[in-house]
Amino acid sequence: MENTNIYVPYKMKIEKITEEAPFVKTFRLKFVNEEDASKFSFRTGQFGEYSVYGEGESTFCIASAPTREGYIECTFREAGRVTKSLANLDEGDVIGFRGPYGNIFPIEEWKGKNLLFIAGGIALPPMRSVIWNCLDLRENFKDVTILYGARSVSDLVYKHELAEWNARPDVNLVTTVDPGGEDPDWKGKVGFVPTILSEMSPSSENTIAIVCGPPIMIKFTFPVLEKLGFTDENVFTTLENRMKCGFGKCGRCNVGKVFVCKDGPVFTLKQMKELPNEY
Amino acid sequence: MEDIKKLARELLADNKVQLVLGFENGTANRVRPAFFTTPEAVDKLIYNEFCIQNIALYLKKDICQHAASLAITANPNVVRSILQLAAENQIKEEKIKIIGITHEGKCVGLLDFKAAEEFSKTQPKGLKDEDKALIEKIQAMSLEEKFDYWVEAFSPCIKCYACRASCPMCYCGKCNVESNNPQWIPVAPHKYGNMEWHMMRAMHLAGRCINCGECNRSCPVDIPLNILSYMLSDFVLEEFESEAGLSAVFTPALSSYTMVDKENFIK
Amino acid sequence: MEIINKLIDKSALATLIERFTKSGKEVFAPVKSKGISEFARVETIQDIDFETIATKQSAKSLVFPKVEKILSYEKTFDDVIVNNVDYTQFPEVIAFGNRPCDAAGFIPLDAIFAGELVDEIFKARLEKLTVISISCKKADDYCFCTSVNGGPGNTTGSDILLTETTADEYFVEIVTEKGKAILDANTDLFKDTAAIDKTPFLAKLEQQFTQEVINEKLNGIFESDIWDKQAMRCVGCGACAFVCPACGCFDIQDETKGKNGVRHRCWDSCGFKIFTLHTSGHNPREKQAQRWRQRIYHKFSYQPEQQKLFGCVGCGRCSRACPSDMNIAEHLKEIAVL
Ligand SMILES: Cc1cc2nc3c(=O)[nH]c(=O)nc-3n(C[C@H](O)[C@H](O)[C@H](O)COP(=O)(O)OP(=O)(O)OC[C@H]3O[C@@H](n4cnc5c(N)ncnc54)[C@H](O)[C@@H]3O)c2cc1C
Ligand code: SF4
Ligand code: SF4
Ligand code: SF4
Ligand code: SF4
Ligand code: FES
Repeated sequence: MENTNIYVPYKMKIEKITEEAPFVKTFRLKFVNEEDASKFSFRTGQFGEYSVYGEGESTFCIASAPTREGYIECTFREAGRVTKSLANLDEGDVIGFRGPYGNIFPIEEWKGKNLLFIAGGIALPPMRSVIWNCLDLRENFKDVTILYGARSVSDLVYKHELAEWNARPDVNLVTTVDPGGEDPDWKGKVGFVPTILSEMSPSSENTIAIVCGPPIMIKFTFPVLEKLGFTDENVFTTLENRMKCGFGKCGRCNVGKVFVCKDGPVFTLKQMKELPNEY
Repeated sequence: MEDIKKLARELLADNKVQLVLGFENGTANRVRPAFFTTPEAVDKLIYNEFCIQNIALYLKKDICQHAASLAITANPNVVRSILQLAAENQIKEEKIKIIGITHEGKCVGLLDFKAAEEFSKTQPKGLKDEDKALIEKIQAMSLEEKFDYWVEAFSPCIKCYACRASCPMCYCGKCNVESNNPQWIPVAPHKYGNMEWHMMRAMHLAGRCINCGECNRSCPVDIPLNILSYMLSDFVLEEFESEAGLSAVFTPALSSYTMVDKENFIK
Repeated sequence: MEIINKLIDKSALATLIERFTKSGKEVFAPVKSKGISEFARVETIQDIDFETIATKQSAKSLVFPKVEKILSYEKTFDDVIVNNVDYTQFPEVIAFGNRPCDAAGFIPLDAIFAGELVDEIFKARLEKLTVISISCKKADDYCFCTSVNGGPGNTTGSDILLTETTADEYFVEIVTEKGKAILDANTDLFKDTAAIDKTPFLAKLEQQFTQEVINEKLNGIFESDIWDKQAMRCVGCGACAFVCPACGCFDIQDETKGKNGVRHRCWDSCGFKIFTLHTSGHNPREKQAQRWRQRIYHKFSYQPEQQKLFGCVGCGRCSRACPSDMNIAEHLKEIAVL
């Protein structure tokens, strides 16, 4: 019988585990079955359901870029049952993956524009996918600026990649930690993301802003962007709601009439303003 | 009923309470819980033999928690619930005015906790004849038969948790069934998932259940949960000489130890 | 398909049911036991409760059971073998003697489980199901099908609809190909007739509002205090959603014994606090009033928007089952006149 059961995950092998920060890991996952790998494709912004059999499923975005073929990556924080058991796995172990689900960052529409990525804390993963996707197609875009903030130096994820972006002449990377989170060697900025953004005062001219982070950061970042002249259609973010199915059936992730899993997780600020406050 | 209304109106008019928790006429000949905040609104307050839902439940809900003071039309079940909630430090005497109502529907006026304790003693918990018969039938069973009986009785359970949601004693912020790490109780409403849920529920309520029967009344598939609770209460009474809902100061039998505990059940 | 009209007398109906069971089909019909009527497996027509207006639970469990295995797995030392569910092997099921509202309920349910990604397990169950409904002679204070585009003699969702016309006879409407297959295999049991006006044989049920008006009203009242007022006595259980023929929300849960385990899809409800609770502790629908509002909006605003249909068939089951007399028709009426 051909498998058309939408609940059956792909079988994935954990190829590589990277410790990003305390309680945060990145898994590089490879399809165990060649056939699955050849059929699979995704676009930046999408997410999936990752299974530990016996524990359940957890929702993470695909943190790698579609331009990097042959594997997918996810970065997760130990939070509850599934994430804790994922954290106990080793390289070589097998997990399940269903996806890709959800909508995408419309990077084709961003051609010829400046990109301003603003991320906070563990919310860099969805951003990382779109950042790499854009950097791999670097000639399509003008200036690329990345503002990334975390609570403390040890909470910064993707340290290698931050170094890599920092070294690139075609990327303007600004990192910051919350006041008190710095250490003696810290060379980045100190201050909350919205404050640093105001200081940087990037031009909104021909620029797309992509904002991902904890709700509180998002809440204080939007007004700064507005002040800088960004229009609501040019500001993108991603939403999180509790999920189970990932495809608009289990009923719990809706914000008003939209399902975050199906109609999201990527929304423009314009769309966000039309949604009731149920996220 | 008029004396109840009069009392409720006065309490609101004199600003002695901000809220009266009682009943009003519902739909399709039902009655239902209602919240009265003005003397005029009390026109709609009713009390009759159908007003058996245990409205003490709402004492732990936002609407009552936010009220500085409130009164509640309290039949013996509600009074027992209030005493038990007080014994478990869930509510404070200063905040609550109890409008005592006997099993027969007679209003006995306002009760402080002391008077409520006396009242509770004179208003023994009632048990329907059919419930008594069922208890006798179950008691006559062997251990295996008992187990089979309950597995069967719980099998139609759909885990809607109406029983839990309607029980004044199930006030935990996070119920054990909501804990997934570890997963104490399987979430799925299959035979054994149901059995485990009901065992857990029964154990948590043993010695605390005030035997109002609300769990059974709220159950859409009519599972006799109250019988199990009743039998456990009986057991706790016999073994630990403790009964819920009679006193505002109380040590739950199953989480305390006294020198008179018989320990004969530890085999 | 154009409706085919027939007559069937009660002894022929008894034979029809016997033929179903003898041929290996599972027949589910209302059965009264210990005072409550529920859908249960029947062998003969004698087992069936024709009187009760509405079973406590709807017929949805025939296609959307309270627990459904969606896959199983075996863990070995360094691998996991996942086994699909063989949904080609589901039995042929006949829903018999359900009300028109029950039949109508399969449609919004199907809209949830179909869509871009089809839930094959649900679909297989629905494909194996034939619905033989009986029109309502009586309605009670909770029924409001006529306010949500249904009716005591409505054929929507039924494969065959029976309407009792005399003490001994039913007027038969064959609505779908599935219904016709039954007719074709049992022509000896049916008699010819012209179309009949069913009205005299149906319950009278006044329309209290229209779903279109509710839908329109909901456009402007998301922030209204009406939700707090209506939900004040709601205790936050799952009774209303679980008895509802049209509610399709579910949870996914793993259960392991030793090395083997099963992943289930089981009923869930937007009335529960943990339905939307994030692991962080944040809850987008923190208050019961927000959850009640979701219930109404989902059925009367979101589903019409997403699926071009309404998520309530007016059976009144939620109101009957609610421990706190949250009567949905009363609440909708209140909204309709806002
Ligand atoms: C679109 C999307 C993308 C996400 N991307 C990431 C990511 O890249 N990295 C990361 O660390 N986290 C991400 N999250 C959050 C992550 O899904 C939760 O932290 C995780 O599901 C918690 O699961 P748990 O089993 O460990 O926790 P438990 O508390 O044990 O969770 C129990 C169940 O509740 C559900 N659940 C609880 N909270 C959430 C939530 N916030 N979102 C979705 N389901 C939830 C899940 O179904 C989970 O199985 C994302 C969430 C969404 C919706
Ligand atoms: S009310 Fe009844 S069906 Fe619902 S969880 Fe309790 S016992 Fe089960
Ligand atoms: S919401 Fe209530 S009345 Fe409407 S279909 Fe569901 S159970 Fe029936
Ligand atoms: S009303 Fe609630 S439980 Fe029912 S389908 Fe809609 S969201 Fe799900
Ligand atoms: S409306 Fe009634 S049945 Fe539904 S959640 Fe509230 S109390 Fe439970
Ligand atoms: S996750 Fe199930 S509907 Fe969105």
